[in-house]
Amino acid sequence: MLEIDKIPACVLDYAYGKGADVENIYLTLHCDMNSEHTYCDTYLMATSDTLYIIWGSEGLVSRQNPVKGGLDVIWNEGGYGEYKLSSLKDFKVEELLSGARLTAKDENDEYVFLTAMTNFCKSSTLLFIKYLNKIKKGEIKDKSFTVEPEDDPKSQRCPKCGMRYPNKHRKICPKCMEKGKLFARFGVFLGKYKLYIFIMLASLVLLSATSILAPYFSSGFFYDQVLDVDGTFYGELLLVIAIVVGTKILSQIANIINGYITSKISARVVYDLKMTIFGAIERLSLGFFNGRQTGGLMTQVNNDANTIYGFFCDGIPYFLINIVQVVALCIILFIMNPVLAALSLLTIPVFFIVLRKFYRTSMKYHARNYSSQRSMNGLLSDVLSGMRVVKAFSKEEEEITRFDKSSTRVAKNNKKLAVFNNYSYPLSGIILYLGNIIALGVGGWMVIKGYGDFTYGQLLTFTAYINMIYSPMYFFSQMVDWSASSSNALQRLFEILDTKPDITEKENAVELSQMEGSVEFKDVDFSYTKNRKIIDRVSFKVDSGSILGIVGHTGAGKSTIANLIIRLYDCDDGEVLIDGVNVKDLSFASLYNNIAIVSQETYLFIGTILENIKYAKPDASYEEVIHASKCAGAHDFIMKLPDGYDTKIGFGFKGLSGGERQRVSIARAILRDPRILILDEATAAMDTETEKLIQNALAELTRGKTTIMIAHRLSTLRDADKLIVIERGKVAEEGTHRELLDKEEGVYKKLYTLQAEALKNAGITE
Amino acid sequence: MVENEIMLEKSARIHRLDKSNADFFMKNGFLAMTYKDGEEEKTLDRVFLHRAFPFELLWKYISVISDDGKEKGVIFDIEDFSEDAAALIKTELERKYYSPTIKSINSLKERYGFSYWRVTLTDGRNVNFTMQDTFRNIIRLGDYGAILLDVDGNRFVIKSISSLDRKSYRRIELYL
Repeated sequence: MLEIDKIPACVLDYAYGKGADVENIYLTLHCDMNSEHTYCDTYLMATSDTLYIIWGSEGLVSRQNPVKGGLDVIWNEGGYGEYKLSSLKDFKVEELLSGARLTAKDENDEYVFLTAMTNFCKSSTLLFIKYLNKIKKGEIKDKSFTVEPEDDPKSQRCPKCGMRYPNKHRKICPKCMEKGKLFARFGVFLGKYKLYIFIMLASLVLLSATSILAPYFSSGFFYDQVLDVDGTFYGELLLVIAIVVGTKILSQIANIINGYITSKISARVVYDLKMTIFGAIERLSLGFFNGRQTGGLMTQVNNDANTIYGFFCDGIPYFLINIVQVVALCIILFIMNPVLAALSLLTIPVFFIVLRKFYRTSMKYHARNYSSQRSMNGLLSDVLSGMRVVKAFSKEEEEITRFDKSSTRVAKNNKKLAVFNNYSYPLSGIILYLGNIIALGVGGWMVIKGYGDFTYGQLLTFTAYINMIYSPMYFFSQMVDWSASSSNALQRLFEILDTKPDITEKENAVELSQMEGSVEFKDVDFSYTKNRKIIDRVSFKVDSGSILGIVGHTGAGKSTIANLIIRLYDCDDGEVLIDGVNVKDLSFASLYNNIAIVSQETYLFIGTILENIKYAKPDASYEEVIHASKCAGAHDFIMKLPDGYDTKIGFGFKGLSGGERQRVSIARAILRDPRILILDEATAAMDTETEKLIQNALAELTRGKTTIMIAHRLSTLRDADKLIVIERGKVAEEGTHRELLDKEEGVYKKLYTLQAEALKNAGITE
Repeated sequence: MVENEIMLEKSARIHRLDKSNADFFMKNGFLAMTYKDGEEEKTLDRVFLHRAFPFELLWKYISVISDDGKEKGVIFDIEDFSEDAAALIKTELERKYYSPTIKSINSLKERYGFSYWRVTLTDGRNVNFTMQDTFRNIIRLGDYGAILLDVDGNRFVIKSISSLDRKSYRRIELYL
């Protein structure tokens, strides 16, 4: 039994009363709306052959028992529905804006409205449908069926607070996650630097000890023991100076060691962190990148590494040392003069309270400042990238006004923040300084009155120590937020490290060093997002060495087929076979070494044209590169560039036109000499003449190789051995160019005639 | 050439729906439509409505789409229909575009990139929801309002941020 949500006893009683087979329930679900879109509790229960839907609400009534009294939970009936599973098919969760509807079709293909829900219940409803279909197919035969581990509702919720994990692949509840565990896990990462960290800590301890000793020798000891006639070391000036200089030298040595180690370790830890984050990101499947902005990931690699390093290598050591120092100083102060110590330290809690208040306001100003800055930067990059459009529509004045408005906002927010900072920090400093005044005033009075043998020298040492206690206070006040931002960064780091790539290489994967090149799709289903099938039961076969053309409207799912062959994504159902082997069983090496893809979105890396072409085969000879470029029709335009194949392209360098970029990327694919070549609208950005030239060259090259061509321009696919027409994710037609043209009312025929007509009108004959 | 022009004209033309050529009714709990195709009267057992300008015009320019994803026409104004049909269209749109409106924010906590909200809605219900990447998922609506998108894809609307009570305003202020 799969209990996605628990059914209350009163609902089960009610259902039993209605004649439902509550003893044999396989599957349960709770939704938060009914079919009238009214908020209520709706429960769905499925047995082997029936689906029950019950809606209403739970209520409390007083118990009739006069002795026991108390309250009973009752079910306030809203409605009841019963459907034979055999009469329902095509269960679907239809998306609304902030909710969804669960629908199905009956035997007459008429829609049945089962229930509505908010998006809170959508993913569990999709799970319900998955198992409902299994029951219908007869894959589940009794109540004790096994639920796939990832579908177990318990595994999706935090055992502590019961909340669903925000990321189902990473079973961590941010609400219950302990900061300590995060830091401990990172501590392991820092393990290899333990020697450096030890030296760093030792130098900090030395630094701290010398800083505590210095005021003692230069003030209290100096006045009371050396200058005073009754002092033990009266007149021994050289000794004191030697001690003071010695302490200073020791402190400087500790400082130098600390600085040296810090600079050495910082570069290495940041490097390590960036490599770890980048390595983890690179390892992830394409699906991970679809939901994220590239900018966000870049910030993550750069900023997070610095934040984490800052906290662990600057924050924590200083924090520890400061704590030790403050505790040691407090002990010394209380030993020296407990009354004065208690009075002078009173200001510290007041300081923290005031600072927290200031901090909140400061955060608000910072957030406003950041947000206005971000929107101004966005506006600036928007206008600069779209300058052609601005000029074309003569909108310069409007854009200047828009920028002025945004820039004024930034200036105003900057001013507010600066003014606030100017008075808040000095104000909080005054509170701390008050402690110093108390020490001077009360301490001075004690010295004058000779209270408790408090001497002038002791007062000097005391005030010096009080000031030493105050300086770490600012540091402590920022530590909480520092640790928060660093734990956020750590959490993001571990999120990436823990995310399992959707596409993984199987253990003992099949190695096909020399592929034959046959490709077969068997009943393949695929969707990028749940509930929206992009590929729907697609089946076709391409014999090795033959050419398959894929035709269809924009968004029909053509490129997705290519993505499934090279395993950028895995199909949800069915099989993609290469040489009769499921691509999921093939090793990555056999897959990528034997298949090359040229897509419409070409990406050339920063570097020379030569480097870009050789990306596919780094050990290719110059002749091979030129040959591949000639085949791709790229050689001629490359030779017209002053630097030939050594021309720098990519960001900030020479820009190539869309057609030129495509030709370079075709050359790159050709150089790899793959067994299977996928051309996904590879020649779309070229004029018809160039396209034809490349087609001829490609025809020569692809001889004997399996080629899958996806094109809008149907004439380019005329010579394909087989064509498939994809319509809304399904194979609508299949056959050769001739066969498809012979089909009256065929989709291909219609498309072809329209295109041929359009080209004829444009004066191009094929 | 002529045929192409006819096709272009046909695809660019807006087919206006009103009571003279279409009517709406409910079938099995779904919105259905009868319409005139030339002289012939046809019925669609299910139609889907989409607002063209969901933020500005709630009851105007509504595209009527059939089960196979093709636009059957555009309702310029729901008042172009009989009172009964207009009420059905309105209910269907309200159901489709329903987003709960936040009256007050009772608690807002941020932890490790997620924020946890406890809010009271204008219908009196108290709801808890979680947002990820909060800054990016609060979308400003004009100068006053905002839409909050939670991790499940629910949308919560704040019609006017400045009219929230002081405590609620202070809670959301940092994210605006």
